[in-house]
Amino acid sequence: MIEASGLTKRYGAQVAVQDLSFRCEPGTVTGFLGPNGAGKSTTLRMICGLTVRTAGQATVLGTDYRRIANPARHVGVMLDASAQHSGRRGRETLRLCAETIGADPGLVDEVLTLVGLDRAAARRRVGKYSLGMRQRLGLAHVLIGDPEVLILDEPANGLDPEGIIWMRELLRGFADRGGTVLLSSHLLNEVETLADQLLLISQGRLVASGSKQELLAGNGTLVRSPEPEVLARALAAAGIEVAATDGGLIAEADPEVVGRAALAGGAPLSELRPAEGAGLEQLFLSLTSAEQEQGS
Amino acid sequence: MSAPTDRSVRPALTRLGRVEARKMIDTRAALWLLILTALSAVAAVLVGVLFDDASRDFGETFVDAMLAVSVLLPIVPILLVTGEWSQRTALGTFALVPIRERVMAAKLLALVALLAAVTLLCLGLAALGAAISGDGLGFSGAEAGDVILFELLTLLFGFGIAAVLMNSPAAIVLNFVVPIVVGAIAAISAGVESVVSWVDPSAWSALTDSTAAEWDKIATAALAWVVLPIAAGLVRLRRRDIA
Repeated sequence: MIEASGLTKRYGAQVAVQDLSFRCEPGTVTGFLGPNGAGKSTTLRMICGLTVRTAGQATVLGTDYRRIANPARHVGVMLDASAQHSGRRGRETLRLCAETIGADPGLVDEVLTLVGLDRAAARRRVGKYSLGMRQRLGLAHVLIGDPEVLILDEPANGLDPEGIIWMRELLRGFADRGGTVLLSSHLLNEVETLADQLLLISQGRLVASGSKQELLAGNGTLVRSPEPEVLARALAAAGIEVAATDGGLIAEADPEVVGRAALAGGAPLSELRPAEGAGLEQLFLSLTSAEQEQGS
Repeated sequence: MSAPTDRSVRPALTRLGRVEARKMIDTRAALWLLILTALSAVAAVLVGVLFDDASRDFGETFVDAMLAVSVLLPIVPILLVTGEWSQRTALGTFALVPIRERVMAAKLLALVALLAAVTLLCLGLAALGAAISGDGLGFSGAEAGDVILFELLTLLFGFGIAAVLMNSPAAIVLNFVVPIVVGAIAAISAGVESVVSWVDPSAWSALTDSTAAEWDKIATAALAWVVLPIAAGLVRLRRRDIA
C-alpha cells in the first residue's frame, strides 16, 4: 500500500508538485498519468525519500520509506532505467544489488532469465544496452528483492510492443497475487489496459483520480446521426450537454438516456455507444492540453 | 557473496562496505586505474632495485612503493564517491539504502580496505625487490606506520573533496591542484607561510621522509582537508535531491 497526503515540492517560487494526495491499494495497478514535466518523477522520488519534500507525508506499507529497515525487500523501486554505470556488466549491477539488500545471490541468474536477458546480454556492459534492455535490467533489480510494492517511473519507455505486453502481464500477475503497483507514464495507451486506478496530474496538481470505470463513466456517450441538426435539437430539448467530436457528438449522459432523447426528438441514429477509449483519451488530452499549449 | 538475510533487517555496514569495495574494481575504468596504480608501485621498486646505487633496505623500498601509488590511488575513492553522480547510480544506491550517511560510511570502509590491499601489495613488491637485489631486510615499524598514515590521509583528502563536489572531473583536478596552490600561497612570504603552513597538506609529506613530522600541523591540515570536507559533504548529501 502507498499513501500520499499533501505532497508538495517547491523549488524556490516554482511549484513542481502541489498538495498531492492519493492511495494505492494492494491488488491493484495504479497508472500515474501526466505529460512530461507534470511532476510525476518528482512525486515518486518524494515517496522514496530521494527528493526532499517541501510539505506533506508519504508512506509505503504504512511507514516512511526511509524508515523501512531494508526497503528493497519490500518495495521495488525503478525511477530511471538509464541510471546505471555504463562501464559495469549487466549481471554485475544485479549482483551488487542482491548483495546490498541481502537477497539470495542464487536468484541473480533466475531473475535475469525472467526479465528476458540471456547470458550474452547479462555479460555485456550496460553502456552497450538499448533502453529496452535497461528497462528489463531495471525490472530485474526491482524483482530480486521479492517486494510487495512496485514503484516504477515510465517502465514502458524504450520497450518494443512485445516487451510492453510482456511487462503488462508481469505487473498484472504481480497485482493479482496481492501486490501494489504504482507506475507512471506520459502515454495513456501504455497504461489504460493495465491500470485499475488512474491518477492524472498536470502542472503538479491532481486533476482526476479514480477507477478506470469511474473515469470512463463520466465520459458519456458517443452518438452519431445522419441528420446531425435534428439530433442536436433533440438532445438540447432533453437538456443533455454535448460536445462535438468528428462526425458525431459526445453526450454527457448514459446511452439509454441519449437514445430515448433521440427517439423523442425523432432523430435517426447511426451509432450509439459509451464513449470509451476515445473518451479517456479526450479527457487526458483536455486535462493536459493547457500545459501543452504553454509548452509549444 | 554472503548469505541472504532476513528481509526486515537493515543491511549491516560491513555488508555495504563489501559492496562499495566491489564497486571500486568492477568497472572498466576502475580496473585500469588499479592496474596503473599497481604498475606505478612495480616501477618504483624496479627503479630502486636496478638503478639506485645506494644500498637500500626492504623498509626503504616499501616507502618508495607507497609513495609511488599515492599519486594515482586517491582517484579510486574519488570515483567511488563522484561516480554515483556522474553515472547517476546514486538514484539506485540511495533507494536501496535511504539513510545516506550509511552509504558514505560504507565507502569509507572500502577506502580502508583499499589501503590495506595496497599496503600488502607494496610489502610484497618490496620483499621481491630485496630478494632480487640482495639488499638488507631492514625495516622500521614506525616508518612503515608513518607512510601508511600518509597514504590514508592522501586517500581521505581525495575522498573529502569528492564528497563535497560530487563531480568527477572537478574533484580529480582539485585533488592535484590544491596542494600546489596552497604551496604557492605559502611561498608568497614568510609571514603568509607561518599561517598557511597550518592548513598545508604538504605537512603530511614529512611522514614519508627523514624530516621531523610536525604532528600539530599534520593534525590541523587533516582537520582542514579531511574532517571539514567530509562533514560538509555529508551535510550537502543529506539535503540534496537525488535525481
